[in-house]
Amino acid sequence: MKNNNQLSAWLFLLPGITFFLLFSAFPIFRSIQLSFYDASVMSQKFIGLKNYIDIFHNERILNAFINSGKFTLLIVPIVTFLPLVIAAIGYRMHKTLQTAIRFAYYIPVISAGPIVTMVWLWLLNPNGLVNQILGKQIFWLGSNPAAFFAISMVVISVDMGMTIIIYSAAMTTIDTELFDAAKIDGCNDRQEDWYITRPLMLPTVGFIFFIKIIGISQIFLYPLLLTSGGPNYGTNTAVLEIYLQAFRYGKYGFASAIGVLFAIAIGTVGILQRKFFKERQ
Amino acid sequence: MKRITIALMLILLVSSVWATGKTETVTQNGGFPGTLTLGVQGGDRQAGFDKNGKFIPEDERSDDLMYWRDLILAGFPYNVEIRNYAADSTTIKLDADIAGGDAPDVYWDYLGRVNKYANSKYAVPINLTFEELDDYLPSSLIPVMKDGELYALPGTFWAAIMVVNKTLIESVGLGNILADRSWTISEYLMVVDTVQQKYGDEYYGYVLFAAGTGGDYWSSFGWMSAFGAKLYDNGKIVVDSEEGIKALEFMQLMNESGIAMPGAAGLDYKANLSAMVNGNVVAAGNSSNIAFTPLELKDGSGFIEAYIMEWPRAPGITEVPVAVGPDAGMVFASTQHELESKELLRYINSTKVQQMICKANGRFASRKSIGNVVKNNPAWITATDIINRNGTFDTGVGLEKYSEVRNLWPPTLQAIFTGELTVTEAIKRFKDEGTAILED
Repeated sequence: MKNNNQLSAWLFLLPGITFFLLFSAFPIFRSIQLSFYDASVMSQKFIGLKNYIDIFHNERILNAFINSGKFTLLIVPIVTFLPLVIAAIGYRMHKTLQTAIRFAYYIPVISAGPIVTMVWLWLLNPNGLVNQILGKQIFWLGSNPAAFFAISMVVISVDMGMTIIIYSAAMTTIDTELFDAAKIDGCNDRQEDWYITRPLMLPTVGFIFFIKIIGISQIFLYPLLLTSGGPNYGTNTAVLEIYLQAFRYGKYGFASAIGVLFAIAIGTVGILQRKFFKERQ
Repeated sequence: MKRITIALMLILLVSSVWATGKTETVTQNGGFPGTLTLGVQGGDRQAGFDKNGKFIPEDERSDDLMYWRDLILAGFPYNVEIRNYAADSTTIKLDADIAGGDAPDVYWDYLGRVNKYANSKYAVPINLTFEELDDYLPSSLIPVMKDGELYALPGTFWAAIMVVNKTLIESVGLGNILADRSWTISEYLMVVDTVQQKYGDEYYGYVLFAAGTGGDYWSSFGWMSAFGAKLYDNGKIVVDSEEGIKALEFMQLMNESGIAMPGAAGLDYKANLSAMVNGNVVAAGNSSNIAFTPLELKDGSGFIEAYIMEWPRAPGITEVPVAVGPDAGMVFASTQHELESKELLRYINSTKVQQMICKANGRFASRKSIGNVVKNNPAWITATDIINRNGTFDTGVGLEKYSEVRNLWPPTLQAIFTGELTVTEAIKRFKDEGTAILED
């Protein structure tokens, strides 16, 4: 009987395991393996650690890692905490208004990246709406650090919608009796937010912070579409460099090595961050 | 409803599977029982023409490969399977076929892509007789020669021409400067200054743009040429010459002094294309086809005359070579039908077919025997005259790692235009990184 149960358990697990091995484990293993090869589509030659050594001697690629870090440092706190504030404000509003706010912030999420890019290209044009409002001629995509801030602005606008939805959903799970009790004890709205909502939302905030670090550090689409990593590599990122090395230049081994180093960097940051939030909790 | 949705999704899935890896077979009966494979970049790169060479508007074209099937291969006697390798200007699909042991027999494409394979590792050498060799422009053979062997045949090419707003220049009374289509940099600067004085700072002398590689031949190569500078010489980067530094310093000056449209580091070729129809630019790099017909201004306020000129010459320079982009063809060494494949290559590159291509696309000939087949197109005749008088500029298209090195050029210009690096520093970085790639 026990053996039969075990067999059926394995059978149920089989599709999932197969899927994991084929589409997750094997590509990871293959990437690590390729990182030790001079590999193009047409040939492979074992070169040991040369790809890794070359990365540390390539200023452009090291700079791409730094740019990914800069984007993460600027964008992650904003897309983690600003949606929390918006969700908290929205939480006290009338249901219809809440839905309207969520919908407004969610539109960029459901829009395709290239469409969002086209809208922003128009807005950020030297003669575009943003400059007209500011009354200045800023070359948003043609100067540094303006291009960095322009891309950050686009990513923030696109990224907040989903987080607002998650926070709003998490807030609805807080027991309303806690707010009623606080009101009886004389708490105002701000005190309720600070002493009830904040601590109860902390696990969700920690989770969002974690996934945003992983997501934003892989920033790629908007630098590719808006500036191609320029000007003068000012918005070139690690994942954009992986894309260029692999799919423009066909250097799959070198791209894999960048990918492995990048995964190690992100993994380390992720572990540290999880540890920090666990201790806080 | 649910079933209909699932059925529709399945149809989409199946049709998408069929849509990938599209091929087209031209069936002919000419004594060779097998089928040759020809790799091309179909789609937008080649305009649509029927077998009589008549232009077909985009929405009336039956498919991406009709140009090859109906026009080019119509007279070839063997069966040919055409493979469309169009993939975002990269060679990834072809690389995958080669890796899978399924390279096409013949590959015909832009030389910048063909040259990755036109060498002893992938291609068979092509032997031409002296008479045949003599029929090619010598400059067209240089990029396809490796170690004294010819691994590809050069086809027709496009040319990057300077086009000026004749109407604007005449309106400030300086039309006489354009008379022989040749001018100096001081004459050019005088024209720009006069235009800006009369019409204000929102009129510009040129559109420099450096956001990407697209159109680099329009943006910067002409100016390099105007100062007698070269990017490459014998496969080596030589842009750090005195002439190269002078040319880039001049472009920097144009960018900083308001001669060029502002924000060059973030502008791309689309800004360049729309500049002429905005009517506020003295000159821009473009295709010769834009000239000789009245050009309607974007705001509908009237028409201007676009006029072909040589790039303005720096002091001491007598010829300003023109940046060109040739197509080329090669036979893969893996072919099982070398003889027939070479026949196909020679057929595509024959005088008759190349004449058709020149005529249909307004392209320029690399073979003397093609002659002047675009007689009714004054833009073509004028551009040909300029090319014959000045020669061609080496854009690096003959390098095996052309696309990789080419990608270093926009950041070099961006660094100069944003003032983040001096000209000397930017050139040094380009040379160091480029040389490392070429020697790797």
